[in-house]
Amino acid sequence: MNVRKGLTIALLTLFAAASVFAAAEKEEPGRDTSSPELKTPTELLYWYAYSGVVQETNEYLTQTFNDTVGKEKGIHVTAEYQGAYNDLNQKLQAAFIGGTSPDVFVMEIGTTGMFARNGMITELDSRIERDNFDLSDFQDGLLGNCRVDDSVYGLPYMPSTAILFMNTTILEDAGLDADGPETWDELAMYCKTIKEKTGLYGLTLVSNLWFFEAFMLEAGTSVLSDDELSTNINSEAAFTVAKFWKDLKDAGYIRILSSADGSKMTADIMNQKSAMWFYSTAGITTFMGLAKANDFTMNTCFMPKLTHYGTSTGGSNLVISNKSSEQEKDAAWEFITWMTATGQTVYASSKTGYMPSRKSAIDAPEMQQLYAAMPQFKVAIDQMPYAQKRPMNPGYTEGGSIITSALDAVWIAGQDMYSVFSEAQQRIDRLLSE
Amino acid sequence: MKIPRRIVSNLGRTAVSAATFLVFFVPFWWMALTALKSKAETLKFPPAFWVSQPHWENFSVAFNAFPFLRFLGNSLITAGAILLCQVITVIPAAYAFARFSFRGKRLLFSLTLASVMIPPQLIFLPVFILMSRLGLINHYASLVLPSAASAFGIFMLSQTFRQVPEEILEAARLDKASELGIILRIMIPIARPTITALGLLTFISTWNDYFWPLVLTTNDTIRTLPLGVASLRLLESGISIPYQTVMAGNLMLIFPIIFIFIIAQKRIITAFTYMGEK
Repeated sequence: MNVRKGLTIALLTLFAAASVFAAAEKEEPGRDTSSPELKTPTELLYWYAYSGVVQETNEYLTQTFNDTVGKEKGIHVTAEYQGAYNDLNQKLQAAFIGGTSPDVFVMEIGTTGMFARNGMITELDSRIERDNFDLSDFQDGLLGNCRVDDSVYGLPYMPSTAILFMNTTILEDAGLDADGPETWDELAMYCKTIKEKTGLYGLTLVSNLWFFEAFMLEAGTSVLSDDELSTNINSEAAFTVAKFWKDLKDAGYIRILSSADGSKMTADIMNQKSAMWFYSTAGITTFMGLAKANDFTMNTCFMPKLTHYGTSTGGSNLVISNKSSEQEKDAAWEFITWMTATGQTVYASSKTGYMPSRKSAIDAPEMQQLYAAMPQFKVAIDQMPYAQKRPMNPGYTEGGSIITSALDAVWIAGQDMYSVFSEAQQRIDRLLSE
Repeated sequence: MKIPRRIVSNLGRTAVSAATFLVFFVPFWWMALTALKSKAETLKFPPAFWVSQPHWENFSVAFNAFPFLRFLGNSLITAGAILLCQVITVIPAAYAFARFSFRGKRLLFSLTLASVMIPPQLIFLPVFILMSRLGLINHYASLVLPSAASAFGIFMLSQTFRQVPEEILEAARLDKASELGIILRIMIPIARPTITALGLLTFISTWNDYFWPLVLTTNDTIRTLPLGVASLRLLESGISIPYQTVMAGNLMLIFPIIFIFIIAQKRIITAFTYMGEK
């Protein structure tokens, strides 16, 4: 009997709660999809893929837009979180088929090409020309992933590059210069010295596509050919790259984590088992917090060079849907130009650690103050001239995962790199030419 | 000296029980433990199996990271509505399959069973498009309708209904009972343990469902608790996973299920025992 009573109570509570929430639900205003009449604001739906402090910053900026320029020009933007970049891209594809696509969204820079060529996002050339909008203030390395087939499709928002992070407490214990290694030879020497002097790993490397793209640039080539129709993974440069890290690992100087285990890298850093690691500039704030909490000092430096300095860009662009009406597109253009303007760039960059996308933002007093207080941030800016765009061939989405698996096979499973890379090349080249 | 067989078999039984207990208990223990650790402790190696200073603030971090109460309410509404819909659809369908003979019954029953075998990943896109065309994206209906009937439930309940002796039904019909009356006054009381178990299984699977709410929602209006808890993984922008927060969220997520399971444990076991007796 008690059981039944308990269940009845549980069910009653459940339905009571349900009706309360259902009532609350009704009061919430739905999104008006009918064409807006004059004077009612243009409603824009904005999808993004940021979490944590970046999410807060993004929501804050959207709200500020609504309260200022939006209010003045009759535009209201609703920002909605959709998960990580991959989740967002999948939802976008479903939404475009289902006819519920947002008007503005964030686009991981590497996928801009695919969405542009599939006609899902709007080219911005006509509006850039109409408004005499000055693109030259954006960092040159970032515009590469905004241009698809000679048209501009997005504006850089929350961009990043890869850099080298160092636990300088360990470096100093090992008697090494805390400014960090400049070349791969020096990096190898650093790793060897750290292992011999402290017993710790010199570096924890995640077998990751993005870092590999940077390594290829440093070896004087790139992961894909210039026309992006073939891959250079089966080349001398790729062998040099793969062998360099494999040798350091085999000597016990570094640890390599498989791409799937990438999140374990943080454990090595927090436990101070490893002195150096590669990561996005977007991690500077977080890692500085970790360093403070775990009582070590941290510095950043350029990705060391083999024959060249080089790093690949990351982060996102703001783009406009091609399905929206002309009025909505104009409103969306107002929104994305405001979001990427100098003032907002300074705010976002100082709040999140993402790089400022505009040159004028670097000169802003707030940024200069930040760089003086925390020179770790400045490295990303100084390294920017060496940054290259990411490949944009749609086949590279799958091709990239083939490279990641190949790196796992060579670095983690210890398979023969010549056969692994040669097979990967054939599969990737086929994908790129489709 | 010979060890009596009884002792050997008792020892064996205890060993197997203990191993089974550990297999099920350790993950729970680990979850609760991690929920109380500091971030540094979650990453420590070798890991600690005890925390001296519990970090209760992990729960408030998880609670404040997303609109917790809203998501909780959404979960309750969705699970409650699905439960209600299934009662309305499953009981009559199971009764019809169990007690009536009609043309195409075997085919329909096979089709119903076959639908259990279709993974949701295969049909989510058509369902998504259907829901968008109906304008139901971000409405509760989009989460409830795909689960409004349950093939598994129809199968399970019709097995129970088949076991009711025909004489009882004939006696009822002689007394001019309507079919609805038979369902309400005879079938449901007899099958109560099965229906309760079914209700609980439906509630648990709906409560835990991640896939449908993930693909069918684009804003927080109807997002459910598992989505919120999953989003905790990205709290540190993906740089590292805050396991202590994720596990605190998970504990809060499974609490209602454990609570309901404890009160209804006996019924579930009874129902499955009946199912086996044929």
